[in-house]
Amino acid sequence: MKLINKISRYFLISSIPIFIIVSVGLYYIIENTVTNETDEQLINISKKVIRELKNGKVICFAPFVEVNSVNEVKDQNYKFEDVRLASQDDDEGEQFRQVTTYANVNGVNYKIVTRVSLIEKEDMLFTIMSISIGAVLFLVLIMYVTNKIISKKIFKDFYDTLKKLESFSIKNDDELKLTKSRIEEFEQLNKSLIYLAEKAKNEYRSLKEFSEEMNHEIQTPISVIKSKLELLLQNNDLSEDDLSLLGTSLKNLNKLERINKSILLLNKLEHKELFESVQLNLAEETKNVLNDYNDFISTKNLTINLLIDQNLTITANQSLINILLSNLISNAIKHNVNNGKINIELKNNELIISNTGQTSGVNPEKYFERFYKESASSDSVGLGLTIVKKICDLYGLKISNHYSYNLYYVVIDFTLS
Amino acid sequence: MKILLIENEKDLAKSIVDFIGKEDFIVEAVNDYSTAEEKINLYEYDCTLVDLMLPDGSGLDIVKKLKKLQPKCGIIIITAKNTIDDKLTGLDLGADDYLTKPFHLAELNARIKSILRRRFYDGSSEIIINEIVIDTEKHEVKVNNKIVELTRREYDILLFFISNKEKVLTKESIVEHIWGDDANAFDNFDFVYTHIKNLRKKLIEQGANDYIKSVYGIGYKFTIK
Repeated sequence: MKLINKISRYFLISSIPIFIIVSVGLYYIIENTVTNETDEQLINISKKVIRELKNGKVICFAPFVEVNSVNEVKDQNYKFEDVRLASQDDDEGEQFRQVTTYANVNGVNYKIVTRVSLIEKEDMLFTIMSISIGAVLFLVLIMYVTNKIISKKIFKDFYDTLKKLESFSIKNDDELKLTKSRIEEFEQLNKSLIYLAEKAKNEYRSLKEFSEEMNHEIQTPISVIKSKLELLLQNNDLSEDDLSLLGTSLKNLNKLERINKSILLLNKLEHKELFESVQLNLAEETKNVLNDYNDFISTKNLTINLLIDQNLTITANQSLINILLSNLISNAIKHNVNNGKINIELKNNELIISNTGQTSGVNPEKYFERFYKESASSDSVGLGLTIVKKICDLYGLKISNHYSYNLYYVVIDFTLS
Repeated sequence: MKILLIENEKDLAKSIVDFIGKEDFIVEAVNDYSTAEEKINLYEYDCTLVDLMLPDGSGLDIVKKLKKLQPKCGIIIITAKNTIDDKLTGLDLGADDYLTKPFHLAELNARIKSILRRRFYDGSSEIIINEIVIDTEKHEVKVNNKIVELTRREYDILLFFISNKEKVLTKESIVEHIWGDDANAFDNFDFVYTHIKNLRKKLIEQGANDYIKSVYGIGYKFTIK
């Protein structure tokens, strides 16, 4: 719900009791005023009737004025009451305000009743309510129209800011530029946003620089350690225990080296401009990668089923596409069982790699997370699919994975978005 | 053979000198641009190993100077910077090879040998190890003058062994040399064992000694002694 509509709604809801109170108040005030006026009028008429009686003229005009002679004068005061008298037009009868008074004119006692027909109270109430409801509806209409205009005019700056924020990324070099707003709150918002964006950008930049530098700095000590361990290995006097210690150290150093390399690549993948693009034939690239892994495939005695469209091409960096295919295919080999199979389909602008052997039960989405591993003891670094995902993101390719009938699937849609 | 090593990191330089210095090489190590420049102005080298990141200059300039002063000298760039740009510039300037840190010492050794073979084979491209003769030009292996039929992988492995004879080679370094950098992401190197087993069998069948010894838990060693 839009802010302005929300405000209007509260405004309308709070205005309803006001309208009710005003309507009820109005009703009583009007009724009171009318009664007072009527009573005054009735007294005047009564006085006039008495004056006419004194002149010997008996005015009788039922039901408005009734003069009857009575035996005794009960009360000289005016007695007011509301009465309902039968009428020809109305079954319920008609409402009257009447005043009864007694007078002694020329020795004759008279009872004088004067009446004025009243507006029906229900009618009055109904009219007031109708006017009130009409006013509320009118208010809603006015509010609707003004809201439309306000959203367009006043919130223009706000939506403008919103649009720019949506396209803003701390990864890009361009600054956040917001149009100056004449509305104080929005201008304040813009200022805060620009400040925040600048700060986030700086933080991101320094974090990235730190990560890149660290990556780089780590490389030298790794090189030194690796060379020293390899030198130590040349020593002829090493026992089996020594060799086993060295073997484990080298294996883990190798892992550290791979982690570092992968992070280096991940950092670089933020910048598309670092990678030169050429037209690539995906069938050819896939076959090359498979060729490289021939020995690994035959070790596990895997069956490879290829269903490849020869003409599928993509414009991208060759090394990156190579890394993408290598990572996917090597995963399909690594996580396979002996005598398992790998199916590679390349058609309709889609690459589908499926393989046997991967255990299900885990949400396969997790495989794209950094450092995700099936088991802690695994030798894999857990960055292969993260890199694949990053490469796909870089070129706007859609990638997904799932399990189906004991096969693990990775699907890449090469329809460039 | 004289080799100049220009490497800013002293510890690494010492490892390289220790490793390849045991061969028939005289290795001189310098740690900065100005000393390197001085050396190449004064002496002749057969191969130079250049680190691109030097404290007082760029290794690429050394490569340029070397190409002018000593066109016969082989050049291998070693660098921590794994950028394709640097690699291309280096190779464009006339470097023979490019190696990214961290590397296996055995790999560096094999690359040096390969460059030296190509540049200084003075008419004969043969490597002779007792009864084994390898013609690197024809990719041919003979034992007692009989040709041994090797697959490409087996031949590459043998050449790698011979470039690093009397050195313990880890399985990882063999895998990386033959199958490339990414191959070491696998945890199963059984196929290396298969290839080496076949290679040994073929050589022994032709009457060669069994020079390839396995080193417990680590890898292999080609030893004549």
